Amino acid sequence: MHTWKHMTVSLWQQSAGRFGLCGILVLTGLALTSLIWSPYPPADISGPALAPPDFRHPLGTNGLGQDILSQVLSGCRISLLVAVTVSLGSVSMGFLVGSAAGYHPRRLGVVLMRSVDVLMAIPRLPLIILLAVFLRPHLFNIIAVLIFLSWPGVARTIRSQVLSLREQDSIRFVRFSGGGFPYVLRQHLIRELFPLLLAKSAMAASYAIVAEAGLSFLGLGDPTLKSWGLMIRGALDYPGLLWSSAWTWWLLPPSVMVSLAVFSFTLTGYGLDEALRREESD
Amino acid sequence: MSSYLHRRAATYLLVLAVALSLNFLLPRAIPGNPLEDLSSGLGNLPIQLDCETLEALQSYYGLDRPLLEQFRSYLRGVAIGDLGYSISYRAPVSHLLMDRFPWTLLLTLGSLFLSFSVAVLLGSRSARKPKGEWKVLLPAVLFESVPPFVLGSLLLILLGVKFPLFPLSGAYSGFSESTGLGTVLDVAHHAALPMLVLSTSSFFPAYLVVKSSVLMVKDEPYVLMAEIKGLPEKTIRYRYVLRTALLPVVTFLGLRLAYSAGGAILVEVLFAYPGVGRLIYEAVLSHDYALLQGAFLAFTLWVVLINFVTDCLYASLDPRVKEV
Repeated sequence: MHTWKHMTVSLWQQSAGRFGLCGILVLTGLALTSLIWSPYPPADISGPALAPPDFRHPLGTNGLGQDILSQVLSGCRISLLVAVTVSLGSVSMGFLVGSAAGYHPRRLGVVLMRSVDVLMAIPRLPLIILLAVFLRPHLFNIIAVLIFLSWPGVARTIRSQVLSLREQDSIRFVRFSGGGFPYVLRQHLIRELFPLLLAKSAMAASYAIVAEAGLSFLGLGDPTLKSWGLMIRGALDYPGLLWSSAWTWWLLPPSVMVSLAVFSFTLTGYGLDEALRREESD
Repeated sequence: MSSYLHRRAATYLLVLAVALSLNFLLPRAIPGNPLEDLSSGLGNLPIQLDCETLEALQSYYGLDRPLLEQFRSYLRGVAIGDLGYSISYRAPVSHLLMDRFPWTLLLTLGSLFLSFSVAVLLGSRSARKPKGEWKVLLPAVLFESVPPFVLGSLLLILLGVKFPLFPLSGAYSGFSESTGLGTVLDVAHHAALPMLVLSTSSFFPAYLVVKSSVLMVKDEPYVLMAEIKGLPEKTIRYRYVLRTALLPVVTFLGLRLAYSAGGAILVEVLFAYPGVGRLIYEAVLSHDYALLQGAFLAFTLWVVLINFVTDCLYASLDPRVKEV
C-alpha cells in the first residue's frame, strides 16, 4: 500500500527527486511570500525606466519603470497556480475516464478511448492557440483549455493499468462479491495507482508551466497578470533591448525562473517514475 | 488493408471532422459577428451601416442562411482547396500556406535529423556503458527544461548580438545577389539557430527511445551467437544490434515529425522565420480568422497524413500489429 510518507521517503532517496522537491519548495516559498509581501505592486511604476539593480530595486526595473523582483514573485504565483490546477484537473479527469474505460472495456471503454485517440491526435499548440483566440483571455479559460488538452494522455496510461488490475485476484474477489465500480475506484484503484498519479501530476505541471508561458509570450495569456511569459515578451518587444545590457536584469530573471520551475517538476516526475520502477522490481 | 489500419483511418477521419467543426463553430459560438466587427472597426475607421446595407451584406456573405447550410458550403469549399481569403494579406489562404509550408518543413526536418542522429549515437553508447550516463542525462534534462522560446531568446542575444555569428531573423538575406551554393549556405546560416533550438526539445525523448530499444535487443540470443562466432565488435554493434533496434526509433521519428511542426510555432515567432507557425501568429495579431483556421487545418492535416503513413509503414514492417 502506498502512502504519502512512503512516496516522499523513496523520492528523497534519489538525487533527482531530492533536487526536484527542493526546487518546488523554493518556488512555493516565493509564491507564498508574494501573497503577503512584495517590494512594490507589480504593475506600479516605482522608479525610472530600465534602472539597473540597486538597493531600491534589487533586480532593477523594466522599460516602464516597474520593479522586476515584484513581477518575478507574482509570476511565480501565477505559474504555480496554473501548474497545480492543471495537474489536479487533468490527472483527476484522466484517472476517472481511464479507470472507467479500463473497468468497462467493452462498450464504454471503446467509446471513451476513441475520443481520447481523437483528442490526442489533434496538434496541441495550434489547437491551444485557436481556442485561446476565441475564448476571452482570462486565466481561468487558459487553465480550462490546458486541462482539456492534458487529460487524454493520463487516461490512456491509467486505462492500460486498470485493464490488468481488474483481473487481479483481490479485485476480482471484490467484483464478484458485489462491489461496484465506484467502490473499487475508491477503495482499490486510487490506492494502487497513487504513485503513478503523482508522477503524472508532476509531468502535467511542468507541461502546464511551459504552455502558459508560451501563450503569454504569444500575447494570448491573461494581459492583466504579470506572468513570466509576459515579462519575456515585454523584454523582447522592447526596441533595442538586445543591444543594451538591460536584458541581463529584465529578460534573464523570468527565463531562469521558468526553466527552474520546469526543471524541478520534471525531475520530481522522473524521481517518482524511478521510485515506482524500483518498487516494482523489489 | 487490415482491420488495424481501418481503425486508424477511422480515427483520423474523426480527427479531421472535429477540426473542421471546431473551425466552423468557434467563431460562430462567440458573441458578435463579422459585420458588427466591421462597423465597430478594429483599428480601422468605423463604418456606420444602416439596416438595409447590413441585410444586403449578410445575404451576400451567406450569414443569414441556416447554420447547417453554411457548414455544407464551408465543407464544399475546403474539399476543393478553398480555405477562404486572408484579409490581412489580401490573398487566398491556401496560397499563403503553400508559400510558407516549405520553411516549416525545412526547420522540422533539419532539427529532427540533428536530434535523432545525436540521440542514436549517445543512446546506443549509454546502452552499452551505463556507467557514465549522467554526463548525458544531466545536460539533456537541463536543456529539455528550458522552454524552446526561452532558450532561443538567450541564444539570440548570445550568438546573434554579443558575438554576431548568426543572423537575428528571417530565412534568407534580402537583396542578396548570390546564387546556387551561396543561396543554400545563406539559408542554412539563417536556419541554424532555430534548428538547434528545436532539436534540443526532441533530443531527450529520442535518446530514451533509442536506449531502451538497444537495451532490449542487446541480449537477444542471435547477438550472443554473433559474439560467439567472433564477429568484429563494430559489425555486431551496427549491423546486428542497431539495425534491429531502429524500428521503434523510426516509428517515434514519424510521431515527432507529425507533431513538431506545430511545436515550432513559438520558435518561428521568435526568430521571425517565415513558416506556417509565424503565419498563425500574424493571423492572431491581425484578427485574420480565415488564415488562423486555415493554418490550424493545415497542421491537423499534416499530423493525420504523417500518422497514417507511419501506421502503414509500421504495419508492413511488423505484421504482429495487424492482429491487435
